[in-house]
Amino acid sequence: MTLRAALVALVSLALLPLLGTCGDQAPRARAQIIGALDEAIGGPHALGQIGDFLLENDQIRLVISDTGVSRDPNKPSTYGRGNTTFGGSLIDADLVRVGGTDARGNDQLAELLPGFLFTVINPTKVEITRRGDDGGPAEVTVTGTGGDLLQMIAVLNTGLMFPANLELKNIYRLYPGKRYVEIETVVKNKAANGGVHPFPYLNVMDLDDLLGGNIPNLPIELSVPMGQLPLLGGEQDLFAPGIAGFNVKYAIEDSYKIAGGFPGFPGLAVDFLASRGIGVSYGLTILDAPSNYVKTYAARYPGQDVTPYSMLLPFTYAGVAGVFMAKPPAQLGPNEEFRFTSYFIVGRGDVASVASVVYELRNQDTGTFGGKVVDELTSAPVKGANVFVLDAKQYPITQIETDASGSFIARLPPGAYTYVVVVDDRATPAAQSITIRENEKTGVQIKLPAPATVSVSVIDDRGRHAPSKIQLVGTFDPANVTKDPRTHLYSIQKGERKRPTAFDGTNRYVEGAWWTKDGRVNARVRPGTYEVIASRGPEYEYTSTTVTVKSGQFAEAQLVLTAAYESPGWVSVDSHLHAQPSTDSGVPIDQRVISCAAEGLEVAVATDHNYVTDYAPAIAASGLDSWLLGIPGMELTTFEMGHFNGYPLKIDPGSTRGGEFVWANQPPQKLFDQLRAMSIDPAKGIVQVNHPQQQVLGYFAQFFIDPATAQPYTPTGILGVFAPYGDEFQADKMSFDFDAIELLTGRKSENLHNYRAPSPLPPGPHPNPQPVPGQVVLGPDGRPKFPGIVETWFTMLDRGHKATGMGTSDTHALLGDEPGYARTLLFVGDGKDTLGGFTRDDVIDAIHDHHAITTNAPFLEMRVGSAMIGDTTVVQGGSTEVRIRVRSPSWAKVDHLTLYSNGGAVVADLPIPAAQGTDFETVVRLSLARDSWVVAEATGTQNMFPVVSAIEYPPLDATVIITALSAGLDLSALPIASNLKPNVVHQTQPFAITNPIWIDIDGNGWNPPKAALPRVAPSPQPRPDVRSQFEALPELTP
Amino acid sequence: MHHRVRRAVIGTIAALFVPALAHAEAPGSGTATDGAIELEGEAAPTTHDVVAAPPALPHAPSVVPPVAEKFTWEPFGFLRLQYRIVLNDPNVAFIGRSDGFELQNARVGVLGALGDRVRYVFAIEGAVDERSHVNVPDGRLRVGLKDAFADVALGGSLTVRAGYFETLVDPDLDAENQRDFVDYAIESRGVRSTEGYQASGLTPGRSLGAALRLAPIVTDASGPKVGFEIAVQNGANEYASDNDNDTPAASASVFARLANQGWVVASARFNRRTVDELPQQKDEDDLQATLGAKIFAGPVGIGVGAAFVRTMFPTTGGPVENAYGAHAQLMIKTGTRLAVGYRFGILDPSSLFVTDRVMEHTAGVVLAVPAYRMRVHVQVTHVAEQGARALTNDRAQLAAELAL
Repeated sequence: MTLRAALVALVSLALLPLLGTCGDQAPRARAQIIGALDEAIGGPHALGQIGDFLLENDQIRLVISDTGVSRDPNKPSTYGRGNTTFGGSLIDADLVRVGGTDARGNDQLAELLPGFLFTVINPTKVEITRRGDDGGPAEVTVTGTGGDLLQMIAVLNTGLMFPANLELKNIYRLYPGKRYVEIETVVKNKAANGGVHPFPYLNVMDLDDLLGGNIPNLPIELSVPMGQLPLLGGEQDLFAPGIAGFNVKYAIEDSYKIAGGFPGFPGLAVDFLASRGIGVSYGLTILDAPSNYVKTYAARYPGQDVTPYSMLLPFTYAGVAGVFMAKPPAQLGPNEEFRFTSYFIVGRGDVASVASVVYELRNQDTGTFGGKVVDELTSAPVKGANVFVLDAKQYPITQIETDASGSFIARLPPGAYTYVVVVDDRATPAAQSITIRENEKTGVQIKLPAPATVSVSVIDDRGRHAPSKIQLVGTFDPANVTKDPRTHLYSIQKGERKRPTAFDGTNRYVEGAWWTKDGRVNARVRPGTYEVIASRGPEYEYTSTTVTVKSGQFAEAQLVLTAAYESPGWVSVDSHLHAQPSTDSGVPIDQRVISCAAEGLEVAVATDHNYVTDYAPAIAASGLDSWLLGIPGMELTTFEMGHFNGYPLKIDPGSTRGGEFVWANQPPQKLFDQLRAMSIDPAKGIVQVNHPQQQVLGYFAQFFIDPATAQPYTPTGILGVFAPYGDEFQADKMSFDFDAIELLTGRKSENLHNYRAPSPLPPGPHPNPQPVPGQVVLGPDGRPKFPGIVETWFTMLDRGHKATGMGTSDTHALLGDEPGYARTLLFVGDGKDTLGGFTRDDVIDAIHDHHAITTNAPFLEMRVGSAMIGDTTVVQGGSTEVRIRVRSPSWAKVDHLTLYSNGGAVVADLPIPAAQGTDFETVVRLSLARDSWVVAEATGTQNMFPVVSAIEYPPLDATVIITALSAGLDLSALPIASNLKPNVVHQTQPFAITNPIWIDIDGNGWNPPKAALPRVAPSPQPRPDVRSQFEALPELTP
Repeated sequence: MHHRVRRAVIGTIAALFVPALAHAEAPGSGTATDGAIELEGEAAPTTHDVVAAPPALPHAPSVVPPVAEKFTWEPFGFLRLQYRIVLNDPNVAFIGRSDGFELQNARVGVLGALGDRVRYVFAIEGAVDERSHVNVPDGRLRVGLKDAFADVALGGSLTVRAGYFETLVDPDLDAENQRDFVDYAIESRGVRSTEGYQASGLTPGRSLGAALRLAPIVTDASGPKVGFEIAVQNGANEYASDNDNDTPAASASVFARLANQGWVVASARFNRRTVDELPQQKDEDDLQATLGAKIFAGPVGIGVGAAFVRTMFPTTGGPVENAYGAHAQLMIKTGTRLAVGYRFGILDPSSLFVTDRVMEHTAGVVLAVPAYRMRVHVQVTHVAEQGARALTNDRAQLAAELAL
């Protein structure tokens, strides 16, 4: 009995493990229309909703949006729910999540859509073409016509593609068990006249006619690149194997310098494209095909590695990349098709998980490289370390991220490599060699030097552990002060974070920065000697102490903040902030609100791109209710009409965007009306025009507002060719029905005033007309070539339009893009600027009442008698005194003061004695002959580093796209293409400007000094529609 | 149930469970039935003997008395509290700056029987030390399941065990409330956060599974007997509700119970662990071996133990990592209540590091206070790391243990 029982028990135990091997089934793929939101993908950029199309297998999940046309049969319109104008795009992508931290989904993809140069599909139909229930792939097919992604370059787009004759189709095909979706793109000649369709459609001479004869060196050959336009989210760092690594943007710009010329568009040739993100990553690749664009024009990419899989990256912009893969045949016969296939890959958060799929697709032999990264001192696993594998040129070919146990693994083609491990808080050890052999595992254990630890505690002048910013400022080898910091201080190529330098010829730089909710931080850093800097916005001086920390050791510092000035009744507001809901920002909301409080802001207006965000829950969860008031809002983001903030807005919990609205193809007034309709109180909702003069993204720039008249003018010549053509852009659609306007956005002080030519002039060539040193640089039409926002605002004031001037940060990140610089000081009432002493209505009322100062540090007060900024006061006879006082922290001293009245400076650049740079007061006596407004402006030349860093690199700008795609064309008449243009790379220096005090000299009400600005201005002549110019071309005649 | 009968039954059950319950725990934790043994002193003799707290393995009544009722139960529990002082290392922030009280155990549980063939134990621990990361000084106390298993008697001393339990893969089998020093041996418990660079012990914790066990009962007259345990467990991390992969951990142990309350145990175990979250998991294979013994000669008790772990990385292909640890200790009883002792411990967590070996020299005194069901420990430990990792982290500990 005992023996038998023992045997039975023993056998049973032995069989237990076998049970675990049962039950495995073949993977599957399927397609469905989303019927409930639970079926969609979650995550920071998830957009999928009911009616969209879900593709999923056992590995990944994808959402393709429906047509993007409203379902209202009476008002079918394109509503641009995604980031681009049309529907039918891949808008969500994630791994299948079975549990863990991202169980509800971790979509970080903004959008992926096919691009035929800049023609995209305007879908007429999105349908499931294979359900996958037969065990095969599942498919969703998008069919449509061509649409312009950017109207501004319609002339190029239309001239090369002429999509009106084409049917465009995109087939998303998902196989079981695969971590990629195959995207087959079809271009079909459906010309009504039954003729052939050439690529490019127009010969270059015709195109030159359209461009006004501006293409030099004719004739040249052009081409039509086709591919994909991935818009990866702000959390995703773009990677291309080779010289670029994570330095894709700058590598692209570098590639322009060695471009071989047309017919190959300039750009970077990459073997595949991948990204790095938290928990998910993405990739894009192609297989070897005769239609490969780069391979076809290989001779046009000298100095670059061209492979059978090369794709062309001519630009990246705010997470958008142009990835061109295919060259169509010279012509398509009637109903003939051209197809090309690309593969979109979903990775696990690093490049290596994408690359392994790339190798699988290419049937490439591989071995594995894996192991563990541990701390040299404590043996603890190092999570999140970046293992870079480098090729013979020491260029990164992949990046592998370690998991919580410090482990990593990647597939690599056989060969000899080196590897290096990069972690931002540890010193980087020397590269080591490895050899990868086919189907073999190569394993290593990597020991990293231990980081140092710095513990800092900060209290304010009242002894409180208040929110504050803590920075470590280090010094680098003085021999490198003239060198690009990317070459010695950090490597963007290897994914290291940027470390802002003082940018003033010294060797100071910011090693790390922490925005704290309670003045405490315990941070791991690279060993070294640092100055610990504590700050809390402009109302406080910064304090510092020096610490030296070695590997594995720690240092403590305690600092006390002291007030720089008091601003009773005024609160600090930043009404332009981005966080993770924005496609191009990866900052979590809780970090955003803490950063706002730590920079001394008292009001934070959430303004994510086309997403209504409310900071209140995050503020409450962070315990910051006593320090920060959150106002829900949104930046209504159009593709090329401009950006407009609306606040305070209602949150619609039933919307995947926090609210429903339409932005595509809408005239401005409709945009403003929608924002007000979404407001908590439509009668008081604020509409704010953002960065109005920014090319492509600025309302005034896109409407060609003349700073002298504040009215739209009709662009001519090349400017007209590159102007948006839509009806919504016609001058009579221009609306001034907004409440506020950004005067200073971020650190872009170069946009404040009309650009004046430096003295002496830099080397030419110079634009026509010849610039005069010290004078405003003019364009061929006699208007300022780079109009200042302030001058345009002054004209609006002269013409009676009282939009409140604002300062905002437009921050999308943290270090180097801090919130609150610039900011707006708003007067909410005497005694109310205490913690919890003012309300959201007080803030909104202050904006409506123009009680506002735009500043990045100085507190600039102005009074006329008892009237304060924003008031209208009666001064009988016109003789009065303007009392001005400016105070500033010692890290942002002011040195000049200007007083404007009715568009001109009545006191220009009054020097402020150096000893009074932190507190200066003066009185200006005015004798006014008519009703007037007065505005004061204070400036300084002090470098505000380290509290506010410099702009060291040209910011990303949409104009890069145009510049790249128009390389070889003479576009010197375009502002962006000028040799003489504002310096966008500079230190941050003190600036403040008040809103006006309106002075009524006769008591009959304030009357503007110039003709009142009409609400809608009729245009002297319609803006040219480049599309219509095509109709006259003989090539288009059947 | 009549009180005397119930005590007898509980005592018997306790004795039967001793082989399972008395062996080593995860660092800082304890086992369940020792408290019960103390409560039922007549059935678990000499448990108050502080010099050579008897390994619960060897001694138990030779005859299992019939169980009158279908279901019996008895609560048990114990508390252990220590005050610990660790020297502050001048360079490392997380070492030595958390001096103060530490609750080592707050154990409560029940044990009992279902009929005459099924025994069960259920116990929870209220002093589980949870750390968010390695080498952090701020842990949190939480409640965790400690034992939840049942033994089914197949005949004689042969049983099948199923549930959440710990195997005999440990060189230090002293029960939590019977051990000679404040802490378990270093190869079992590892290095705790705040006491040095944190390192895991080399023995597995508890896990869900089943085991076939032969635990012969030894009396002073019966002489040494040999037993074994063959176990299949999930092998996932302690407190994991599911296995971390499709492969269970398998272990085999052989032990001998010596008539003089000593014991010898040897074990081997294979466990495939899977680390990280889906879908990026990686396998790591542990091959473990342990060897331990404790013998008594008059007032002198000598204990030795060693553990070895070989870890392979089949997914990443990383280099094989070996770890070992060992201890040797001597306890001398001076009178009926007091004992003094010395322990040497060594732990080398990784053969891939040449600088991570830690040695400990511990001197301690144990005082039994039977009237209050207490034991009190006082000890000092000199810790010696290798040069590159040298720390100032010697420590002194005062601990009190109370059986409920």
